[in-house]
Amino acid sequence: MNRISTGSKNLDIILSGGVPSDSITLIAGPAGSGKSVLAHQIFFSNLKEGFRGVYLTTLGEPVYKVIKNMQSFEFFDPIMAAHSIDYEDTGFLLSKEGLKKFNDFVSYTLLNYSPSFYCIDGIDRLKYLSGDIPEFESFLYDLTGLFSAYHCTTFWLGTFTEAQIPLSHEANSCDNLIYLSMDEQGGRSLKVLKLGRSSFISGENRCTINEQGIRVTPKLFSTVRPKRSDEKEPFLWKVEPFQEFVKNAGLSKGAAILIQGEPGTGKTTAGLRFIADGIEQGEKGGIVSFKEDLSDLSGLSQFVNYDLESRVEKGEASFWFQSPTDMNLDELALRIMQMARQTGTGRLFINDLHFLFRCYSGSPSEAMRYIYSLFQVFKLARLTVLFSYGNSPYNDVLQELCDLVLVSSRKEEDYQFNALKGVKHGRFVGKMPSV
Amino acid sequence: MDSSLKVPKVEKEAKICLVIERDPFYKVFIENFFRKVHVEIEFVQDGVSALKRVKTRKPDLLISEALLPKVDGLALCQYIRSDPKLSDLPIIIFSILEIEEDAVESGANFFLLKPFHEREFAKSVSRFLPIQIKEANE
Repeated sequence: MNRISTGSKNLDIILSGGVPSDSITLIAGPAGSGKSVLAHQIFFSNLKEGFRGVYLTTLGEPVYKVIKNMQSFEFFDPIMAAHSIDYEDTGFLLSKEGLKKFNDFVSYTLLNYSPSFYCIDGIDRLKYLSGDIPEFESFLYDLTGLFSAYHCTTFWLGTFTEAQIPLSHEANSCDNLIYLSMDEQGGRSLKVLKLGRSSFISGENRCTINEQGIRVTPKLFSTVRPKRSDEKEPFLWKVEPFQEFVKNAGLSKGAAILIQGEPGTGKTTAGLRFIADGIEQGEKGGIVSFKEDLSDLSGLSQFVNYDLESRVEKGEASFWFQSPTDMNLDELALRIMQMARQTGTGRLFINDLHFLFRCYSGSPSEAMRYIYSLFQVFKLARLTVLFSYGNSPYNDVLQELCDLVLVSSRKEEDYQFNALKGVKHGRFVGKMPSV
Repeated sequence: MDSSLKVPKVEKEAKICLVIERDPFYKVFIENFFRKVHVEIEFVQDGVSALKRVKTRKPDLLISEALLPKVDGLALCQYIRSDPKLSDLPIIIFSILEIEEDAVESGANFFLLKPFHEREFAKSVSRFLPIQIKEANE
């Protein structure tokens, strides 16, 4: 099956390669959700020499308004628009003739312009012009038949709420269905609800619209079981007290370590030591922080006699601060992985992970899915990760998934680390050593 | 419509303007405008029909939308400029597309970005046809 790229690499991944060619895709969503943007993005990604597209508006937004809005996007090439897209406004025809001549007009454009791509913007408006449901069904049947008779990849854009979709005739007549939504805070998401007989990534994927068009962050998921191969490379943390814990737990690279405890019990310091030790062993480090910025952490790193800022300057470690209030979890995972890949990070310290979950407003099952997937993605990438975590929700899930769990506490000047999982009788009481 | 337009003197020989525009609202606007200035107009729907039409009877001015089916407005300009018999035909391209440079490169004498005011339209037409425009404050 040939696929049509959407102009968004991530959306193509969600759609198993793109939209199937010669099919009808309904792009549904409320007004302003980006339906026309997505359709234009697809058009401009595919219109090459010789290919043509027809973009037809109904009784919704006039075609001139659509074009005017689209010109602000970087993908919009006005010369390609003039040469390769036939913009048709059927508002006048529809208001004068009703639905009667609409299919004749579509048929005329299909026959005379031989488009490879066709878009009907405002498909939802057409039902209001039909006398009754059987008449509209018959009209839609003819329209679907028309497109099926031509080699043409078709997009219908319609304003629907998600609740209207299952009962809508338009949704039942199309082969593929993409739903775009917006929440009250302006957060956008994209969901594929149907894709012919192909598989696709189901569920809600966060997206944004900027001058480049629609950018989608695929929902974090793990389809591949992490390898439990013999190629395991032992993970070493050559600093006491952690050396013994790690050795006894028999950790290999790609392991997940959790340090859990109240504030001030040495979690962050342990994380900085984890990164410092990696650098000593020639392994680049990455720090993700939701609370402290680089200067805060650098101040803290002085306690363990470690100049974090200079390490970051030298490129031995990378630092990324992210406010947990304005981040979606899937995008966060994607960014961490991108950062790790770009910098060649081998060790990752995610500080105060509980901050992220305290700001998370999704369902617990969605959080579980996310945490599970996140761990698998790190493991697959052979990233050894240390999470510091307060006592917050999802403790049990994190403990289950981590290979080594250390509980930190402090009594006056003495730090205490107890191994809860991974080591049978691990315990350390003493001062936090310097690097 | 703008009432500031003064009805011009009727020319001895009526001028003909060929307009390639499919938008019904712009068609009405253009029709009304040229009626007021006593210029004969003819509408065609696409670039192919326009080419046929200019070859059989050369108009005094051609006004075309850039977005046209089959042969777009810019390609139409290029065809006309490459034909020695038609190459001196004045052409105005108007469009919602911001393509002034490309339109002029393709051979258009003038480009008008839509939407425009009647006064702007009148000024651009008056560059090529002897119509008289009276400013509102005159």
